[in-house]
Amino acid sequence: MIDAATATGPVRADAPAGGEKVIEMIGVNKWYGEFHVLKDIHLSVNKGEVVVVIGPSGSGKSTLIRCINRLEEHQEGKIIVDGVELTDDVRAIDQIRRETGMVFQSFNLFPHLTVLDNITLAPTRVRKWKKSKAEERARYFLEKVGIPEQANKFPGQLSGGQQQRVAIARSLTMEPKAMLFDEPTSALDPEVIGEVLDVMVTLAKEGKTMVVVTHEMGFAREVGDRVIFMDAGQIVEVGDPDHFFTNPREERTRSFLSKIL
Amino acid sequence: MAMIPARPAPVPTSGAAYWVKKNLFNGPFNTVLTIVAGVIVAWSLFNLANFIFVEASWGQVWKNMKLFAVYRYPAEHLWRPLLVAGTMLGLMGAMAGVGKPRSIIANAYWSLMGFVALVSVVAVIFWPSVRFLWPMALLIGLAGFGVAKAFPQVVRGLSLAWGVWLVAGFLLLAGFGSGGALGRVPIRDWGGFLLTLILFTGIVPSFPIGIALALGRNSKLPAIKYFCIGFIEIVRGAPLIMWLFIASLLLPLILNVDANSLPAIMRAYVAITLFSAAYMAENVRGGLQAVPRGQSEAARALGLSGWQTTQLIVLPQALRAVIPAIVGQAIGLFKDTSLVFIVGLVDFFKVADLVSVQPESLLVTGGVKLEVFLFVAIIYFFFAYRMSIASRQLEKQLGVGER
Repeated sequence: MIDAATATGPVRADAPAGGEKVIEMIGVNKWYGEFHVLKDIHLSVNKGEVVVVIGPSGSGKSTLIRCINRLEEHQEGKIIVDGVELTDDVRAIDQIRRETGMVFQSFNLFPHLTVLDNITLAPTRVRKWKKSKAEERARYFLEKVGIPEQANKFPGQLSGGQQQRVAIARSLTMEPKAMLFDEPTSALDPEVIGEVLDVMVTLAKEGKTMVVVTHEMGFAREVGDRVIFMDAGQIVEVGDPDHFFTNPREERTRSFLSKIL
Repeated sequence: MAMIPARPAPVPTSGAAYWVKKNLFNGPFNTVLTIVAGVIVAWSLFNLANFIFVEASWGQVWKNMKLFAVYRYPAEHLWRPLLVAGTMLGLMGAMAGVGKPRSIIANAYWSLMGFVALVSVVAVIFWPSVRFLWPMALLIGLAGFGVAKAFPQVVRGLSLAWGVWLVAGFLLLAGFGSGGALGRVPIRDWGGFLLTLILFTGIVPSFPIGIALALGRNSKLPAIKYFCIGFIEIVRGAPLIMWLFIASLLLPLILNVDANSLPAIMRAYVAITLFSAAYMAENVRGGLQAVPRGQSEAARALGLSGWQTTQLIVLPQALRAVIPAIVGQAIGLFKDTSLVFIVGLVDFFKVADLVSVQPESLLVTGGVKLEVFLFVAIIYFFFAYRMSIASRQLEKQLGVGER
């Protein structure tokens, strides 16, 4: 079942009814100066859903998820995460950031800290866990992403795929309600993309709420619940992966997919 | 398909002979250049050695060592600065003892100890008034190292120990009361290398002030931002010598006290600290700009507050990036202390000037200016170069310039 832009308004990427909404974006608009970069975004994500956002560069997909944890500010509309509305209130922002983990295209590990310190920093300083608890959870998630032996190395000593997996573990250890992925594999060598995607597939299958901006269509097909196609700042088409990739309705979607599939 | 095994190269591609051939003699022009340069260097070195060992009269330098070291500090109280120096060496030794054998602090410690050992030998033989004091300082330094090696847990008290040393050292140098072993030594009598070192410690408070200024410059609050910009630009707009002059005249006015109640040293110290802070701020600002934006984004995304992000993530990386600049500034400041003569203080450099115009100096044919200033230059060089080495080691340890 596919929704497409109707004459009555923007395409809504609403989550299926009956779920517990973790992320809600209602009528969100953003401008960079004169440039209208996000247009009338309606999006919601249920707990346990995996939403994949695809689109050409400049379509605003990164800006969209960066608005969710206030790395970018929206000028119009409402964003609600875990029941908390995202405003200029610093407390609200910090609370939302505690509950959303973000994985960046360029990993952004802290180079002056060991892998273990990278992961335990936020839990000890933000969630105020004791060092022992933070370390134990850190090692658990390092094991989960497959590299427990790297705990005492520095990020510079790891490969790109390993660094990204550490970044994922770093976000997971904070036990966020939702994970945001901003093109997590775009900066990786092809031979290590698989190890990162494997981790993400495992997370998805375990029921983690995820919003993933990516070009990896295989991932979307395997574990995506919904695929959203964005272009020029607006949501063009939404659908479940099976139909989306085989029979997209919109011309723009078809044109984009034909270039990358 | 079989892998090709590695073979040694048919001609040498590394080694001393290779380096010489490739860099000095790799072509007619370079060969000629090398020979000409070699001749010039050899000739200059010969002349310098000739001057130092044959022609110069080092007598005046030798006779005035005490002046060079502490100028007018009373001879009977010299145990005090040497005790302070000894305990400083002891604390450094403790730091060296708990760390790795070739750590930066250990290397610095052993260099200084070597220097002190050398002076101790000279003192024992030639300088009766301090013949026991220099070895005493050496022994205290060694004791610090030994204690730390035997009881590594002392490292926990080290910060406190340094703080105590700073305060107690100052009080000991100044003294109390009117007479006796701990009698007052007016601050205006502190001079020579002792004064140079004391003024040099001004770099320590300038460090946090500089960081605060750099962070303030990036602040969103206009009042803080423009104050910091104004301070930095105004201070950097004039030479240190002018600020020393101004501080000397202005500070009593600003603080609304009588001009004579503020020791000249204090005015110079404030000027040096604030001057250094302004340059430190710009160094740190450069470092802050070098930290990728993604670092603070990742930190904020994890829920770290702005202050935590700055303190734990951004500043450590920023400072690591500008170590060469900061140490360069320290080295510069160490030498700039020689400007305090303008406010009537007698530092190491000024002593040289005074010695060169003593009546005995003028009796020597040709004067002793060359000898005196060469001596001063060598001492400055030893300390500045030692700092430079420590800086390079620090860079290497922190991986500056590597990925």
